[in-house]
Amino acid sequence: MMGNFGTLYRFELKKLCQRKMIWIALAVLTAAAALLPAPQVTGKMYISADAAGGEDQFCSLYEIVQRQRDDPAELAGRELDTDLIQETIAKLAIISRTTTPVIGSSSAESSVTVRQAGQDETAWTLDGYVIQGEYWNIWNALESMVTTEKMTEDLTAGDYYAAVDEERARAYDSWGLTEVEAAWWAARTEKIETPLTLTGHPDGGWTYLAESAYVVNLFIFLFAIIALGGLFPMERQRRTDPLVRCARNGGTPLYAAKLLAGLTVCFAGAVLMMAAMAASSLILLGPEDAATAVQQLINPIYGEPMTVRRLALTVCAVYLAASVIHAAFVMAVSLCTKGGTAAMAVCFGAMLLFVMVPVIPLSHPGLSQAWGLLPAVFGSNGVVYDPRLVHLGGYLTNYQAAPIPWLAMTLVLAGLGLGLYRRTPGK
Amino acid sequence: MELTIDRLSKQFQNKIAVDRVSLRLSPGVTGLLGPNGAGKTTLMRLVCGILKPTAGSVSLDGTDVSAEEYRAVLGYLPQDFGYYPDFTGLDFLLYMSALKGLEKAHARRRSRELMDLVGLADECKKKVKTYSGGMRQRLGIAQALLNDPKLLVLDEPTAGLDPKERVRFRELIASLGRDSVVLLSTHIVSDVEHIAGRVLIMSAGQIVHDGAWDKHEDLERFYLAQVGEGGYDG
Repeated sequence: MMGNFGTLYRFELKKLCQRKMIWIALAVLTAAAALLPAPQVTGKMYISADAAGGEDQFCSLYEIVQRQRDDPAELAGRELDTDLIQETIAKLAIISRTTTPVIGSSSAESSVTVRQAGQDETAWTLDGYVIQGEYWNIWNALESMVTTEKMTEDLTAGDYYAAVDEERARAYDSWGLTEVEAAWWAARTEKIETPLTLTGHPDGGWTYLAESAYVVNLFIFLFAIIALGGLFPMERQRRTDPLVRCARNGGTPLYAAKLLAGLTVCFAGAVLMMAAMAASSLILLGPEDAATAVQQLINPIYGEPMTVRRLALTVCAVYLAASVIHAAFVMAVSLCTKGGTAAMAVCFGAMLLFVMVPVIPLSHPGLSQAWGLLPAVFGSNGVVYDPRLVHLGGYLTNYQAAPIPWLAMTLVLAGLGLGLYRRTPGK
Repeated sequence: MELTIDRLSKQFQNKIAVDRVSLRLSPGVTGLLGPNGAGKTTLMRLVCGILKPTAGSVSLDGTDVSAEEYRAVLGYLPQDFGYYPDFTGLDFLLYMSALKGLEKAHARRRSRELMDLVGLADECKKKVKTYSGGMRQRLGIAQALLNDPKLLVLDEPTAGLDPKERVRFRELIASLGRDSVVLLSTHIVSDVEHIAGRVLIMSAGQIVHDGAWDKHEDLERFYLAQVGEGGYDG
């Protein structure tokens, strides 16, 4: 039986791989995944004639990103302490005070003024932006925790980290965490070493990957719909159903072989799409320093002691796990509808629903959290940092917990599919 | 060896396709005739376990149609059978062998034997979509024989074959009937006349004639008389 299962599995894979539609969908979606980070570097910055000292000039975002990457990380290894905070404010206050607030404009030290093309009201100094990029990262982190008015040279590290704790507590409260859950996070957060140590360029390809991989998750779902919507109905459409149904292994063994082949194809497609997006993110935006940079340099209130790279890899791994339930869902629907087109329509409708309703308001906490754990919704709408916990024996974060119900749901869907497959009469 | 069909019925909504059919079939070729819509294909699908009966049972030597052991000795050629267009002929047989539970080396040997038997040995590496209708029909016959079936159910096996091939396959089916129970449904009355030792005529879901056939009589006229489309005086 096992020998037959291996042969059936290989032939089911072959059947899938012989469908042109699958290859077309895979090529298009992989290309789309690879192009996702492109808008981060394809824009242009405008350099005014005054600033350029002659004619108007344009500078590509790619050039700016490259200059940032090439720029030596002078602050790497320094702690985010009072000295560095005050140094940052002293460096960048000039910009923010002399020009438009928040973002800032021409620096007294800078000879070139740039602004995003078509947006006259925002302007940066190219040299200031690039060379002082490390300070900008710190500035952004500070400004996200304390108000601009408090961004004075009196701001200390103690003030900053207290503001982070307050902001974190406020966030936990707004997410509806219980005291026990908040205490669980507090114990976790204690493991984050403060003051934080800078690493130079934490904000690059890995961060983009962590925050945008949910788009690839939707691509994977779409791929599952296109590739697997017709896997079971195909036998009826091709009128091979009577042949396979009256064969000795045409029941459960064939169902299992088809299911496994479907899961394999979807998982392989998911790996390819995720790898394409990861590769282009890291090539275009840089892989620098993510191995050691802690996530709190990007998102100060994030309570998990985790590096930027580890979070990105965790996110990718979770979405690869999601590909399995996407596949199982599509195949179960196709067994319900008994038709490939109908299955694709139902699954595509479900996908639209998930895209249009990425979150349920926190006023319905249970439903909201359960909805957020659905594989097609997971991580969308910036919920990468969702601190709500799942109680499964002990507390688990969303990323730790999500694959468990997904695995359970996959088994349920596989069982449901088997029941439908065996109950469906031959044509 | 005996195929037992006991008060077998199949109802589709308001239509009774097979109506309390009871039969006992022994090794030999049994011809099944009947007009379109008489219930022949439904009966064959019930015998193959593809459809579940509304009432009654089918068993081979006491083994129920739903048992794996029953399907292990069953060969079936559907009337309008499908195929996988991008599989080669040999791949198709190897796949069907795996479905029938044949061990890998035996499957490969048996597939090649059958490709040779049905005259497709030179075409075994070509994709099925390039085959003519007759070649596909021959491939269908080959897949039905993969597991040396003890019960062979053939629905229009010679449709699409040229006269020479038809005669050859008729003889092949007759030889299979020496050891196996062969149920042969066809519109080609002469095929039944030549090889069937027993003839069943079906009309409106019921068996209206069941008996041995004297090869000197005109089966076609008898058949038409039974199904109400002509007279019979012999």
